[in-house]
Amino acid sequence: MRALEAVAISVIFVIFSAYFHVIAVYKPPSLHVYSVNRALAWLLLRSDSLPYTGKLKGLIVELIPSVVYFDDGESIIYFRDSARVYSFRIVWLGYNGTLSPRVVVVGVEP
Amino acid sequence: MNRKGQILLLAIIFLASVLLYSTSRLKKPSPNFLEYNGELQSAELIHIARLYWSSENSTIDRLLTILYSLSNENKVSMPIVSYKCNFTLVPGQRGYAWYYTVYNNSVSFRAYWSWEFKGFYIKNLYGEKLLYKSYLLIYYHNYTAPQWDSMIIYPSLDDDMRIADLTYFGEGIWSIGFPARYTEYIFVDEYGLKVVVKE
Repeated sequence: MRALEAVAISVIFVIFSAYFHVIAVYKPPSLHVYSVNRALAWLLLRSDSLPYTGKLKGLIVELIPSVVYFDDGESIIYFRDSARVYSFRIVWLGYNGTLSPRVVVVGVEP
Repeated sequence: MNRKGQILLLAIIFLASVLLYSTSRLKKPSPNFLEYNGELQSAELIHIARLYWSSENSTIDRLLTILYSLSNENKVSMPIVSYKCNFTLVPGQRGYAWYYTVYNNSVSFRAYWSWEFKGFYIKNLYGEKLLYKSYLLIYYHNYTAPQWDSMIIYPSLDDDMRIADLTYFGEGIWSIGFPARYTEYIFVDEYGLKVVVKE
């Protein structure tokens, strides 16, 4: 009987632990996706030349405080360590009539 | 199982249920989605239109093809769109013109300018007195998209020939002057679009 009680308690504990772990650890993407999308859209609308003139990095840091890394297609800059990073990509095709495609990647901590 | 064991088991089940319920109530609700199609996609289309009108070599089809190709490679979600483009110029002492691109997903780009002749003046250019024509110019860009409705920006203008006068008053209003011998003069905005003033 004691053994049966121990098994029952263990089973309950395992179910509880698994469910608690899932609830605590798994979280759906948060609203930062909307805010980062808007910030990047504003940068693209503001200027066609930002990634080519070196001004993009400073604006990214200013607009997106939770930025983890920034890749302008030529170099990658890491601002901090983070265990969870969401990547956003923006395509710049060129500026002032000159075609020069570049994909900029911004890693953001939620 | 004796009575004490049964009571203990029930207590544990009850405790676990209470803890799980409390945890689920503490978790903040957040929207869950797979892919977000929003402001960034509309901004990419505006960027394409702006680059097209500033370029002499690229077509919108080519730019869209490159955009779709890069988007697929980099897993950026981009809607497939069709478009219409229009350039209009109505010359005269009071004229207007625009570049206009509209996509079938309600995203549009318009660069609009109008000018009004104000008079003549004499300018001393490199030691030579020249007769200049003065105009009042209004120039702005209008970007529309479902995500932000309408956005007006006032790009700066420049003169590649460095002989025109440009004075900015704000809100897209400029005073411009160029030699009277020109019936048409071309300025360039900060995105490379040609702003033509023509009588």
